[in-house]
Amino acid sequence: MRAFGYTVAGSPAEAVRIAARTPDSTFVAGGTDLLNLMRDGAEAHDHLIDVNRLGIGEVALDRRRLRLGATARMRRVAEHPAVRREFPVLSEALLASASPQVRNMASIGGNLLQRTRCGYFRDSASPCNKRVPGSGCPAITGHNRGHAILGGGDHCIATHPSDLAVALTALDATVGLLGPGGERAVPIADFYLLPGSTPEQETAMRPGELITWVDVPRTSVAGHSRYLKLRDRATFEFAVVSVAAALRTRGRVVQDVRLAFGGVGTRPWRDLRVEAALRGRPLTGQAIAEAGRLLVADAKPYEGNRFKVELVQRALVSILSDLGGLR
Amino acid sequence: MIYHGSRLTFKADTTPRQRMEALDSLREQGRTIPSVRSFAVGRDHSGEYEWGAIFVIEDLDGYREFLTHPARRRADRIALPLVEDIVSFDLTDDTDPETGAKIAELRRLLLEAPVEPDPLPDRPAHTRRTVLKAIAVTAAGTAAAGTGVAAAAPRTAAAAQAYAVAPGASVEVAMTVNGQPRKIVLEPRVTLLDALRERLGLTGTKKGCDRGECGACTVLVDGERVKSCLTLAVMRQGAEVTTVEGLARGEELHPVQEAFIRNDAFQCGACTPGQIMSAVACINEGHTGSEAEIREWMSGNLCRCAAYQNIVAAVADAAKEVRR
Repeated sequence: MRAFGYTVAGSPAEAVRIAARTPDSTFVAGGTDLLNLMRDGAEAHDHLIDVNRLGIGEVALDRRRLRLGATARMRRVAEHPAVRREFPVLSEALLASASPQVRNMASIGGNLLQRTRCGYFRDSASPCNKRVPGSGCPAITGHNRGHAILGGGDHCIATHPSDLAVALTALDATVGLLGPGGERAVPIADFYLLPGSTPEQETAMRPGELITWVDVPRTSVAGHSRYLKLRDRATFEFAVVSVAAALRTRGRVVQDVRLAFGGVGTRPWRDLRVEAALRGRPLTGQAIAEAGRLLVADAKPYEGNRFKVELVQRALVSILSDLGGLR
Repeated sequence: MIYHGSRLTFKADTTPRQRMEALDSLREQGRTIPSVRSFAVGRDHSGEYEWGAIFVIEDLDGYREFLTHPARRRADRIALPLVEDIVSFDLTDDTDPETGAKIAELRRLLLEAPVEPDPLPDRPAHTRRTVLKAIAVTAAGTAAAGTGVAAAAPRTAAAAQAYAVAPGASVEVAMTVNGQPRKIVLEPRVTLLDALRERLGLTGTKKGCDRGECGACTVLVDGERVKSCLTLAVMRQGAEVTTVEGLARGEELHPVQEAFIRNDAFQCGACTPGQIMSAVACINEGHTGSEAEIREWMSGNLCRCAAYQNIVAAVADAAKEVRR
């Protein structure tokens, strides 16, 4: 790794202040993705600002919401009794991620900001519009088995790798940010951006902003939720296709359903039309199949990832059948 | 000559006495320490931020040449200004070794010094590297070639809530390794794995992929298993680290080590230290209820010989032993 400086910040405000006056700096919490990005030359930073001593690592439940401190470790959140009881999809998504070692190290904020696993992005010798804007996207005509069928375009078809982000997208989480311009909260639906013609801009975060917390509203539907992750080996692997689902039924009729998908979109993918197609109807194989077809109606598969069109529909059938007690 | 060796930094508020103690303790660790205690006061001048670092620089001319060498500037995209002025000063001369009156005076001069514009014309502004502006302070009569060094005072650095290390500079990291207090002087880019293997000579921890995929580098930090290749040593200031060398009690092996031998749970052995450390944590975490559970919770450790069957058996075996 190229030499870089390092500062331990003592408070969120101080971390943001140091970032504002230190060119080419970034924040580090776990470092589990950042160190590899810097080794590979996918990212270069002259200065790391350690945010592990800011006092923003708590997990707390109050009347209205679950608050995940940005530096809470994946393991702590996954094991937290309130998370397991009221938001099982979060716990399952976290436990399906990475390895036990990495879950001890990696933070919630860092998890949301991890970079795509696209091999062209990670290989600094390849062109990549995300890494070097305007250099081209070899994935569109190259190895694209792991890439998106939804939300892509001529500039980028990389997927976002976070399982947690998929689960948070299903549960309408909000991301708390602190930056030079002060505090603000961004709904997760607006947090991740479609690549469009600027795939290097992945989130709505402004320069120098730090994630300080992630809020998840308490809802009854979240308590009946699951995460299904399909991958190339049994464990310790990124998703080929994943689904986060929360479901509330009365009798057979769907009262509320929340669905988000990983591995298929250029951002954690949620399509409210799919949920609307299920809501108020009896949960049947036919209803799920119709919802699934709606999900992939606009899909644009590539040579290597055509199989995802079918796979994501089957994943939807599987998880909703389980959650709805259809089998 | 081109300057070589490491720069170690002191926090600004480190007193001369603490600096001397720090240098002495480094010498006791067998590190090469300059014979003359001389310092440069550094200032980060991309902004108004003041690092408060004071470098020990023995060979001032060599150091200046090192900083200004075109190859280094090109490679690191580092800019001038560099060593600005030379002031005679010897640490042992300070009228007040407890508070460091001379250092305070130099700090004041440093903060008042003007900032030079970046003279490298072909560098895009956004890639600007943090620039060190330095007023060099050296002991009178220092001319000998040698390595430049500086050090963070052990206690002050470890106890500090906030501290900073400039790019290319080093810092002292204090941690407890296998029950022993250790101090290592290193750059921020050094991983915990490299610090353990290359600096402390604890080569039991293996470097496999060096990117968090194989688990050969697994150690315990404050009782939890981590991949030591994915964390910087400087981020583990004050931590308690256990490596495979720290498991046995004298001649008596840890129950997990015994179980690995009993179950023939290795072939080439390269992944074994990581497997053992991971297994110790896996058992502590209580994830040994079934073979499937062990496989899931040991999944961060790969074995290219595919001795998984026996590894799983050894973990189950050791779990029984530990619980007994």
